[in-house]
Amino acid sequence: MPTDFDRQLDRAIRSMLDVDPPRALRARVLASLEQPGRRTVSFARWAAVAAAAAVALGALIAAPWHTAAPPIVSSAQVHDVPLPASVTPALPRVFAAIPAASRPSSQRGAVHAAVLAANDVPAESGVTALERPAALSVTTIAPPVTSTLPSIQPAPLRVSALELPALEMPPDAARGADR
Amino acid sequence: MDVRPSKDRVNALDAVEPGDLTLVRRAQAGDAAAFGELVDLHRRSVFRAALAAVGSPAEAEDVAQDAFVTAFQKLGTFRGDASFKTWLLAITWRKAIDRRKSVGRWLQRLAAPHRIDDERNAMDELPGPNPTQEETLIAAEMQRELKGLIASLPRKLRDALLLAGSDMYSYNEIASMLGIPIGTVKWRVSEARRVLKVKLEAKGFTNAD
Repeated sequence: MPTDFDRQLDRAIRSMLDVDPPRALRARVLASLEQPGRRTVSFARWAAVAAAAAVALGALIAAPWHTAAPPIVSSAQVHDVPLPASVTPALPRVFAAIPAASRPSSQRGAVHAAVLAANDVPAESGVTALERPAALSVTTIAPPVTSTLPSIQPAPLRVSALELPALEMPPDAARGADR
Repeated sequence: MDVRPSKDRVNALDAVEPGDLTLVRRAQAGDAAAFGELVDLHRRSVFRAALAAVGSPAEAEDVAQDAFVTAFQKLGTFRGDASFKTWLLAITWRKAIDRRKSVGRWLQRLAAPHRIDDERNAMDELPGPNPTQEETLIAAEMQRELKGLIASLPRKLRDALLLAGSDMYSYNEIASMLGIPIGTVKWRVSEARRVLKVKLEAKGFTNAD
């Protein structure tokens, strides 16, 4: 026997499904059968939308969000910036770091000139290249002066004879020795 | 009539309409008008099965149209082993489940979340004649709660309960639609009723019996 709950539940279910289909359903179905391309177009449209969404999602994921965007500068600001008359890039100061002793003497003058040019030393500073050093002359080496010493004659050893005093034994010690 | 009804027939709803097979044969021969007659004969059961699955009349209409078109295209494979209605309902349910799972439906629900159970007001659930005002209010509140609880059921229980409760389908047809044994259909319906009763009592409707 159905309870009140059962009746209420059946009523709720029927109420949820108590909707009649449209009378035009037959016409719609027959129209679809006559134009089979319509569903295909609809599917193609959905497929295109899905593909576009996938591409957009992929681009969103692959976008380099971690790199900072360059600053936006208007064209007016660009023209307002004064430019230098001439810009000469500085040469690297390489030669100054090389110790002079490690370079051949024949190149020292040229090296010095190059260092001056690299360091942008102005010509009116009065610094000129060093003169070439004079060649070294080596003389013969003289032997050292030595002096002759007389031979050493050792003196003969003289040892004097030791003189020991005579021992004297006490009378008590002499008796004990007799026993 | 050369129709072999299912052995699992449980009530008169399973009786094969003799006119169906004639119309099917004519439709298989290319008679669109005969298929139109089949649409008219079964549009209500197809539509409500779809409605039970997707919950929205507009979507159910799309599903029903899709199901009829597919049935026409596959009419050559229908051999009459089951009734045309059972065969048609199985197609309808597959279409409805596909729709329920589709991304497009999810997007449409975001855009227009209205569903059929939202469009009804409490006056639709008034009890029979001569109710007291208190009975009317309690019944309306109980109907509202029940619909919310049915909607919150697990899908397997809800599908079986709605299809069985609509009084439009036999257990055999429901089993064929859901692809499960009849015993499982009966268990799901019973379990759904039990769960609903427990939840309804928990909400304060102590005289649910």
